[in-house]
Amino acid sequence: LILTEKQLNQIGKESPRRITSMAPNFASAMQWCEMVEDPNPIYTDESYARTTWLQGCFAPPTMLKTWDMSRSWPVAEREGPVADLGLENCPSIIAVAAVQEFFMPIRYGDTLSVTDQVSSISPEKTTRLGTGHFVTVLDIFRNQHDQVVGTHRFDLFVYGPARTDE
Amino acid sequence: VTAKWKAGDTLPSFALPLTLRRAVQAVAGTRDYYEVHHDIEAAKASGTETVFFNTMFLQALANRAVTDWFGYDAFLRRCEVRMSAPNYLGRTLTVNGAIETIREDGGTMLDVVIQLATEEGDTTTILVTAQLPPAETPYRQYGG
Repeated sequence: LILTEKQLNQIGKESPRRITSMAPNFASAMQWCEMVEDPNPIYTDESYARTTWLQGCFAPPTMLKTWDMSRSWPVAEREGPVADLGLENCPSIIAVAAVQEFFMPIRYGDTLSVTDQVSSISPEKTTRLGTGHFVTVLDIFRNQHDQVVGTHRFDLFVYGPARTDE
Repeated sequence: VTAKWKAGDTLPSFALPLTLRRAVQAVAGTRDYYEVHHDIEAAKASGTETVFFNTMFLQALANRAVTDWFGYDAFLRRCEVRMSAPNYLGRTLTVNGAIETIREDGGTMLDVVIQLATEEGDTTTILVTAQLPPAETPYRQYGG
């Protein structure tokens, strides 16, 4: 399967900036800590956090991507740049690698915004999972002061049933 | 500040059972409603054995490991997750880590390799960089 002109044109094109689907908040951070049994009080105890060099509570840095997971209700939000690509016969996605970088703490109450882009699309490949494309997506997160707080790069395999034709 | 650690040090390992309850917590906690993380039949149809834990869960685990090992005020700077096999529901995950390098780069940085394994062997390698508090900041034991 050959990539279309439209798909190729999307490579490297940064999306408009939008506010993340959820604002960084304490309750979501608690759920996050619960799932991996993270006891760190720097996320929860302001009187402790204030005594550290990080100067107060903040959200677990790795939550970056979670703040922008699309909502399905009341309006089904755009799912992201991979869905926009519309790769034919590729209904499944699996992550191969992910790289996050963190430049400063994200505080509860910060307003986060994000841009996304497809950095690369491989030619068609067949793996043991099926036939599809390796796609790299880059998200850049900024706070209300226009500071880049973090980036998230996802290397994905976007695929469907194995094809041996063509 | 780095006298406590040196390159090559092995860090205390810990385990986390990947129960169905935890899978539910992970779906809610990461807000990832993609079927392969909660629907066993959909996961099988996608070519995997069963439901598996997502990338964000692994990132959370790496984040926890870093501050468990280096102190609650260590700040994660970079986290690279490389999946080689799925982390399936029903297995127990073992977390091992070792310090690769300690360097100065606008602060004291620790580069650490974290290896995740289940009963079937290695599943995921995570490369993290953690920044330690500046030397002039006295480390305060939590509650101390």
